[in-house]
Amino acid sequence: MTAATTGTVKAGRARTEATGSGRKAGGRTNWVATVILLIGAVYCVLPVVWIVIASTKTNSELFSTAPFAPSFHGGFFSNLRALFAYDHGIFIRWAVNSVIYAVGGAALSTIICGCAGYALGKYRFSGSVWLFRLIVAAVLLPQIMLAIPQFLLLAKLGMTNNYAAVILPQLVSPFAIYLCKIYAEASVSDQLLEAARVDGASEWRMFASIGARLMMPALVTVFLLQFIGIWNNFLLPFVMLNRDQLFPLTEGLYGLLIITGGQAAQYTIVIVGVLVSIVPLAAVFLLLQRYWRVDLVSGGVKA
Amino acid sequence: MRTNLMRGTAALTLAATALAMTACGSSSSSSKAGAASGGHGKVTLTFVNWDGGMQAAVDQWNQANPDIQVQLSKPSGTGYTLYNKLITNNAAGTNPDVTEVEYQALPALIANKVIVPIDQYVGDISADFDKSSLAQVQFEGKTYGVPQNVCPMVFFYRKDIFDSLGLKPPTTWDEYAADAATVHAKNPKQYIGNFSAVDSGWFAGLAQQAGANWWTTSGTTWNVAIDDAPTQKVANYWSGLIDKGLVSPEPNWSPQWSTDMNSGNIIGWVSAQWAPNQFPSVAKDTAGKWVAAPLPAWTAGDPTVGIWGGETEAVTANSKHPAEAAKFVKWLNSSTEGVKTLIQQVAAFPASLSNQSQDALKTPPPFMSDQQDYNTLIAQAAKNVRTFQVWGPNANVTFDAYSNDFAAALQNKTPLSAALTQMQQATVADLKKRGFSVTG
Amino acid sequence: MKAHRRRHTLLPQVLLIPAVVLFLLFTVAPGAYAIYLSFMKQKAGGGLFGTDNPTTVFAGLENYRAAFGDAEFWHSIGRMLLVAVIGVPATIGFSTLFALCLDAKRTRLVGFSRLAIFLPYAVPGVVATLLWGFMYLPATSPIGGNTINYFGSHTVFFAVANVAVWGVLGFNMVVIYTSLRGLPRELFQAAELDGASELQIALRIKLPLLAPTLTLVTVFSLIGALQLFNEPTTLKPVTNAISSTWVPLMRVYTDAFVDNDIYRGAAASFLLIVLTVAATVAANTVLRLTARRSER
Repeated sequence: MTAATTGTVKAGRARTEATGSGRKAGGRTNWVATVILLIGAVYCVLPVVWIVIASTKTNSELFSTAPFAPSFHGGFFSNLRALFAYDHGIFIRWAVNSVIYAVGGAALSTIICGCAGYALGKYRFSGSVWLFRLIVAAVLLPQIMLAIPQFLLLAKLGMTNNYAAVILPQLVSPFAIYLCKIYAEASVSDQLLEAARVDGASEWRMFASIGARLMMPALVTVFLLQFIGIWNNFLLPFVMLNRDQLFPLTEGLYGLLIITGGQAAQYTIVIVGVLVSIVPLAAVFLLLQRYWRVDLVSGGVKA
Repeated sequence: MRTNLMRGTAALTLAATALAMTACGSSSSSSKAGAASGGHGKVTLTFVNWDGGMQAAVDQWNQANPDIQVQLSKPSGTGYTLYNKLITNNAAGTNPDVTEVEYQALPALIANKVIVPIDQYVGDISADFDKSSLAQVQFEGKTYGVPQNVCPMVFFYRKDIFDSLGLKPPTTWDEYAADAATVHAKNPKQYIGNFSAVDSGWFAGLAQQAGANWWTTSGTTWNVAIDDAPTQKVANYWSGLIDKGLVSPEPNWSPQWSTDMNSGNIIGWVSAQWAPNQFPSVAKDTAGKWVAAPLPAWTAGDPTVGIWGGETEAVTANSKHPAEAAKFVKWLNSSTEGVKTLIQQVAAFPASLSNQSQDALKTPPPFMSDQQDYNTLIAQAAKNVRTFQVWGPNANVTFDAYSNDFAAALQNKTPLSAALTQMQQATVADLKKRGFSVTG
Repeated sequence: MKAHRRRHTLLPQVLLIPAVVLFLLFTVAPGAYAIYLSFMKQKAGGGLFGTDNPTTVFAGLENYRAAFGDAEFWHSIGRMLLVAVIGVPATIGFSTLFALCLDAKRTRLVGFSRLAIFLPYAVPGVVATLLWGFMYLPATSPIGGNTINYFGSHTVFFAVANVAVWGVLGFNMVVIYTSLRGLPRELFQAAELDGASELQIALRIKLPLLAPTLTLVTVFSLIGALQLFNEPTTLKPVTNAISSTWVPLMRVYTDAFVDNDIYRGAAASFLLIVLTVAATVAANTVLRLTARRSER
């Protein structure tokens, strides 16, 4: 992308620069930057490494052996078995629920916010600016403030305690609409739309065939953001659901952790459960790494 | 009127969105009512309970009662997390038919109309329970549950370490304090026990033993006396131990406490009947080293103890089958078969008097297999249980104040008696705010 | 923009219908309902448990007075601000540093570091806090919990801020990095030809160009700090240093879910929003005034 603009630079040099940051180029390693990043990486990975190690321990090893010393006494597999055997394998049900909430919610949310973002980004009509501001201002509302009245209103309609009760309130995200708007402004060029208009394309066709297509990379990013947001959400399912068959992973694992009254926390099951629930997310990250581009200002989806 | 209009439009749009939702494959749950009204004579009850082993009892019931099937569901939070959810969900009508309730929370659920009296379904249960158990479930002449268990407080100690230090289990609180000093002097890392600021029920049990009466009623007026003299005595006693650093300030069940229980840094636990059920997940490898002894007394020879925990099953106002639900509750907590399963699978000590002599009780819980007479000790303690006259309808507020004010006192090293005063004030203010008639 | 009015179309309005309807139903309506609730209260009826005809009555400003006059409410705001003062600069500073390092030339192991730093974003807040809880407690601490008391009366603020920073560092890094990648490369090359070092390019060229992004990231981080809840809530059971009203949203939660008083909870959260909006407006005005002054 930058190669074309570096014409004035000497040829040999230009090739280096063309790779972007030039990090793939030869030459001396930038040790300072490398070490800083590695320190950051260690800081971020440390607790996750701890989970991996802790998952190999039995309950008593957990509280009696050194934190970073893994155990090879079959603890990992017995923990795993205990996790999947717990309450007739309800963990699998929670995982499936989490997938339903996160994939379903994120997909619908991306479509809804994408439509709204395109409308707000590419059209001006009376009230559009005002509407955009109102929606964005809603990021200031804490979820806790809304969760209870959301529950009470849904309860009046007899609509709590099901999948919809968890998904519906999360479909409109002010942040997602904000991103979709700036992405629409940046990636769908006015000239292209104008040319299509001249060719006699309907507004709807322009949206469906040009807008949606050009916004696609940005929409994938929004999908991922919403996916993570819903996957990690704890409070809303906590308020809305009271059947363990409907719980997502966060709520299920939290339930195992809570420790009043008659039952002790099941630390080993929770730890291995956390590990199992992080793995698919980490995989999604790896696979879709190139879509993790969140430009808050210009909305550009550049390489 | 305005709300009706809003409800109407909201319903419409929601219905439309819900229609769209089915596309993503989330066929929403079959509602409880729907499931229940499936067969003509067949009823399905939902039952929320977090006790390990409860499924066995439910399975047994289901086998014997094909027409009244019970579905067990574990809540995502226990204790007050669950109760407050029941209170919130009551309006939505989504509560289960039967729920576990600890005794101290029953009045709050009654005050919020979450549960209903079951006298008409279970009849007179007073012959099978002692006064202190009945006092936990009967209010103003109505019965709101069948008591499941009695949880007298007892003292658990590491016999191996006590022996090596030449100590015997303390029989009085004075001895406990002296032993605490001995233990800590020999090894500054070792403690005889901990003071837990997260377990208000634990402190309440200790106060009951000392003669406290946090809530009393006269007519429809509540009298609150959380900072009464006996409770002050208990608070000051523990303040003394904490000031000298003779007990650990770590909360029960924290990873820190669990580690200390494993490593032998904490060698005693002021706990209750159900502790053997907890030990395996706290300190499994120490099995055989813990021995239960009567709780230390304030005056030598006084067998009085308080309770920590204890539960009943209650029928909710949302239940469409209260008669069947009450039948299940009565079976679970007072029939020979039901109680036998509770003893064997949940390690309960039954409140039902006729079941306190069951053969199943001759076998101690697995963790205490070296102490054959464990349940004899519990039975003895159960006879000498002293409770408050009644738990307040806002015990949740009291308990939350406990966990905040006592934790702050431990953190800032201030006297516990001041925290007690704050608890008293918070409780009274809340009752007044809610419009109860209150003195104290 | 000028082109869009040429043809009359209802498409934008149609595209907005689902979002607007859902926004009204799940944000505006609950918000309005919460405000309504904040002016009400439950009044016990007759009988020992107040169950004979309990009523919901108009409370006027009572709930607001209760929150306003409660020293603990202001303390909770103070604690939240303290965590923000520690956490927000750390988040912005380190995520900018990491983004600049990623963007620097000849940095090695970029792919690994980038993924590693981003990984915590995949860990739910509740779980992240549990992990750090184990990291902090002396018994299980691999990071010196034996000598450092992470739950001391002062250190607890750092302990909480650290968990929050850990969770959002990677996300902010990606945001800033994306914006760095969008900057015109020619600028850096020209500077390099003039003999500027990598560090000088980062500080003198890249950083100023990042200003709009950094401003937005800071705003979002501040909003995040206001909504601090998961971390202290999950740490509460393991330490005496955190109360159930430690930060404002924990108080809202305690009012609603522990003390079973949604009316007070609603009042406290509405009061918080009013304070937030007031602070935002004030900050905006100050910024605008100083900007105008410096232009002169």
